[in-house]
Amino acid sequence: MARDMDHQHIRENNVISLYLMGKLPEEGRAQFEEHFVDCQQCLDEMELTNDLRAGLKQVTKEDGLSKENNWVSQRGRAAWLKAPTLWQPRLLAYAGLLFAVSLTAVFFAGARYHRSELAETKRLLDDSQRRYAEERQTSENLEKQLQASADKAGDQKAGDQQPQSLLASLQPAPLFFLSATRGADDSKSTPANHIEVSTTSPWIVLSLEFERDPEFQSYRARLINTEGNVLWSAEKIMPPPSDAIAISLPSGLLSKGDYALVLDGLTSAGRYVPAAHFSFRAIVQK
Amino acid sequence: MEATQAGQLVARILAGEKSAEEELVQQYSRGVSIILNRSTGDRSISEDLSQETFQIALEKIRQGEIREPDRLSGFIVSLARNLASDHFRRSRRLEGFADPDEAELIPESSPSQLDRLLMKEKSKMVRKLLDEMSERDRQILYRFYIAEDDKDRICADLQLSSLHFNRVLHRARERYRDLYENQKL
Repeated sequence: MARDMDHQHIRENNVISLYLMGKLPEEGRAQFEEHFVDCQQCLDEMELTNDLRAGLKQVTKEDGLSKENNWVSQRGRAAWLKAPTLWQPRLLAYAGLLFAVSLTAVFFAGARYHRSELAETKRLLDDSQRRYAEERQTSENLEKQLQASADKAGDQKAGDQQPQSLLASLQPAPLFFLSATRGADDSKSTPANHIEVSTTSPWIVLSLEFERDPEFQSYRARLINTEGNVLWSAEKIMPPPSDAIAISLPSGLLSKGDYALVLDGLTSAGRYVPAAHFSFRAIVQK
Repeated sequence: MEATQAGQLVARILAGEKSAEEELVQQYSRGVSIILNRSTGDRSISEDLSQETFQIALEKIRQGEIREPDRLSGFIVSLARNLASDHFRRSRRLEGFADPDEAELIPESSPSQLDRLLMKEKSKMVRKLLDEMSERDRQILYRFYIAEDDKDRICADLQLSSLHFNRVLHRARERYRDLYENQKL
């Protein structure tokens, strides 16, 4: 089996489409054939891609388009291809003129923008420092109150256990960074991500690193075990400003084993489509 | 199939287990058909060659002639491709035929009534898919799959990243899959 042909490489380099179009070089073709000959996932994908391509060819045939002619000259003949394009010379000329005029304005606006952005960052920093100090103070007060309650109770056994469990819930949740494994053949490989769940922390936070798609309105996250059961899910997760989403999970959901956290993006058409996939192995520490 | 699984399958066939032979044919027949269809461009020829591939493969396994059982996939692919090449060499001698690689350009024989009906359904689904797509995404599909423009050129023209380009193709395929599965229900 061609080990260097993994699914990520195949997806990122459009290997299936290029193979079907006969555009893979000889070496790549031999490697890919050796991979897909017994890979049901790739075979399904190939059938689907081939079908889509055949359907597209049929539509272009029905619309009187062809592969041989320059596609730009054909746009007028099919409604689905009509669109002004950036490389049209006239449009490019207008774009150039607009760019030149805009450049001066952008230069002055830029300096002003950076000043206001700096002020905004400083304000956010001050704000977060203030909130941190407040939260720390609240936490200290709670700890004092709990300790006082325990002292009052007099029962040494109960006094030892109850404040400890309550204090544990005040501890910060452990944070784990997960890298996307979308498209990898997870059923066969060991998950790239490992997390250690402690029974003393009721929550864990997973930071999911992925390339954000600006077209998604929101995200849905699902935690799935190896049997395919959805253990937890959350919808309407708003797109983050950066390429990472933080998800909090009750750590009791996880026992020793492999899991997948699947992130789906909500399109403007109101449908969820796969956005990223994170497989990980959980190890429980007592 | 993992290399170890392939090795185990070969061992079971060597041990005379009939169900292992059926398993091998089931596991590889789809892939072998695709390779042969692309090599010959003719469904009936590829069906014959597919049968021949499995017949020879099983004989060689039974006789213990597989040197690297873990590389069973590579062995089957080479066998199928060699049979396709032999077929074209024989045909060329008889009819002055082309090279197997050139044969990929040979059109399939005229479609049957059922093929035409299926093609009509596909076309309907593709039109529905195109209706739901933005104009730019439609251009990407057309330029990549029909005009067969290079991805780099399309990305440069439409000011797209490679990742964005892949996403458009991925979404189109997923939507097409949905339409296809809904149609089957």
